[in-house]
Amino acid sequence: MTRVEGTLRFVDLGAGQWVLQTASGARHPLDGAVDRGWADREVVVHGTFVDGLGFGVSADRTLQVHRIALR
Amino acid sequence: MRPITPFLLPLGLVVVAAVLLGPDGPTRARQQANVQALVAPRVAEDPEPERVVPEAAPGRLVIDLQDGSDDAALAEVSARLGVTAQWLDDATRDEALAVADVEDLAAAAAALDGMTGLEVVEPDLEVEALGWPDDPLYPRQWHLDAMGAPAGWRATPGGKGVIVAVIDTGVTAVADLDPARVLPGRSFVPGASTAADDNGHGTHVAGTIAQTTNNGIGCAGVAPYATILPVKVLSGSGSGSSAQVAAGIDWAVDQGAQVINLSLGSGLYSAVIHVAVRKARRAGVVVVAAAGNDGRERVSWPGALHEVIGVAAVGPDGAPAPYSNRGKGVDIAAPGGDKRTPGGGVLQDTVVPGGGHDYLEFQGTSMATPHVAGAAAVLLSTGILDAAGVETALLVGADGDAWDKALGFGRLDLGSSLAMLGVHEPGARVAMGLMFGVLLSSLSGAGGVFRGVSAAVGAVAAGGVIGAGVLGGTLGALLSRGVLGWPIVFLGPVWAQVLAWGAFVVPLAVAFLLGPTRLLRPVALGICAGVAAALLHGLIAGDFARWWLPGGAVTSWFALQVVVSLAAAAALAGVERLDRRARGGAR
Repeated sequence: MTRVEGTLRFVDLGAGQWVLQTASGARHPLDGAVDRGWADREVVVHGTFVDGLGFGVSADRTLQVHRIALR
Repeated sequence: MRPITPFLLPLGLVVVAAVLLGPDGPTRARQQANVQALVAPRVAEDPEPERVVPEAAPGRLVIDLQDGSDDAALAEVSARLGVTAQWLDDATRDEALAVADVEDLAAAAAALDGMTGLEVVEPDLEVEALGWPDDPLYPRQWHLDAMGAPAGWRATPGGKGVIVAVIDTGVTAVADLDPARVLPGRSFVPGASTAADDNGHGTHVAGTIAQTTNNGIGCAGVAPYATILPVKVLSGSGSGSSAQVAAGIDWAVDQGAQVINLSLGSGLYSAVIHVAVRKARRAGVVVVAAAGNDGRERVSWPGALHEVIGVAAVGPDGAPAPYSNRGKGVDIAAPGGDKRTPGGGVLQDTVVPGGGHDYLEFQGTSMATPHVAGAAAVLLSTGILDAAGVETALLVGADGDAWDKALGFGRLDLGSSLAMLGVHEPGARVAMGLMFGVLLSSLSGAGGVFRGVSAAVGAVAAGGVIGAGVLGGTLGALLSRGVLGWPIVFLGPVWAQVLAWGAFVVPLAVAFLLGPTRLLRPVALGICAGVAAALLHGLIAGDFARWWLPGGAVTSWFALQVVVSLAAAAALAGVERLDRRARGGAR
């Protein structure tokens, strides 16, 4: 399990996707339930990085969400 | 000398018809026939025009004066209205239609009441064109016109018989997607038992490829008669593993998919996906994948694979979309949308969270990719290309002059790709071949049989036999296109383009080889006339690739080839005339 902090963004690409933008500039697509009201808020995500693919077609690794909370 | 005047009238009519119809002639003729069928009963009743009573509101007034009215009449209109009225345009000057922008339409119309020479006055109404397709949201689908989808609708089976696998979040047969053309599919996502879409992405992609078109509802698609094979490899939140994607590709190939759409990707190379793509390619499948949405100079995988057509995105203005990845691996660009412009997204029918469906605008290289997949299906449905041929036709038909890191070989242009294959609606070419055959053979002074054979051969040599494509196979492919299109069948579109530069050799060789034999002379003359017609039509329609040459050089060379072909035909007619005279002298 990994703990990652960042800003929660909704990216309007394809059907739309939640992305965790970190301080280093990485944008990890999130796989799992996200509270829509938390858009653009600082969050902490506990999850697992997976070497998967997504329709976001993003270069950064997907983060499978186990738990998410406001920071 | 036998007068040729009697032939000139029908020939003139054919020339006028050919020029007016142009490369899209039969479609326009059908549309005109449809409009005439709608209009005819109303004309037969011939009622007096109804008077439209304008509202007391600002707007544009259209004023129809008696035909031939002069500027003095226009000045009187201006004086009565108190504003400057002007003729609509020079082209309709004889019809004496004028327009004026007024503050109060009702008052302005009243001011013109009783004016001598006034036929009609009414508010200028916005009208929409009647035509194919009749999908009411089609006018908002700028992206279909931008990549030339209408050319495929008009001149091909529209993807009929071609299976396109959509490897994505699944596909649901929404209201505007014919369920008869959506196969059962399969899910490779744990917990998802069917290939139904629980996100909306995959169904949107499938809609761009094969939305039911001309059904009077919703949107249109690029290849409206293609069959969709749904393969669910991404979860409802849009993610999946490389194993799922690879398994989906393998399964789609086993199910007979001829095109695979991969509107997905990641920054990591996957050998297992690469192996699956290679297998698909070796099985003759066209594989298309998104370049990625990071806006970076690095193309995502699998779009960057050599075996895949990597697709970048452009917005409504044709410029690269800001999110679209660039660099090695971008092969072609297609409309992916740019929602910074109102209405700038790609519009299709898809499922929405909570159930039901809606027509939604999405953007992304995910949206650009299915435009290319649909175009591949259209090209495959012509029946003369394999996967490599489709890839070549797509990339050579694209509008770029050289490879570019943002656009690859250029923006997708299905019309241009089809033109390279010699796939046209053949009416205009056939008419021009017929006309050249009749006109040139009439110079021979020969009888009706000679002229008839020349005309018929000229028509076939120029545009093939209309409808012969239904025969299928090599014979159908040959008969359905003119002589210039034959190399496509055997050598592919690139060699056909190359050989077109030497097309003048055909009439010269035919004239020398067949011309001396009296019985074959009308055939030779017809071939020369047909080649001239096909070259002239191709020149007008812009079918010949410019390669690295300036447009003027291409035009000059092909015009010269037209002249040489016509000269060969005229020479054969002259030989026939001399031959006939000699035979007459001998008698």
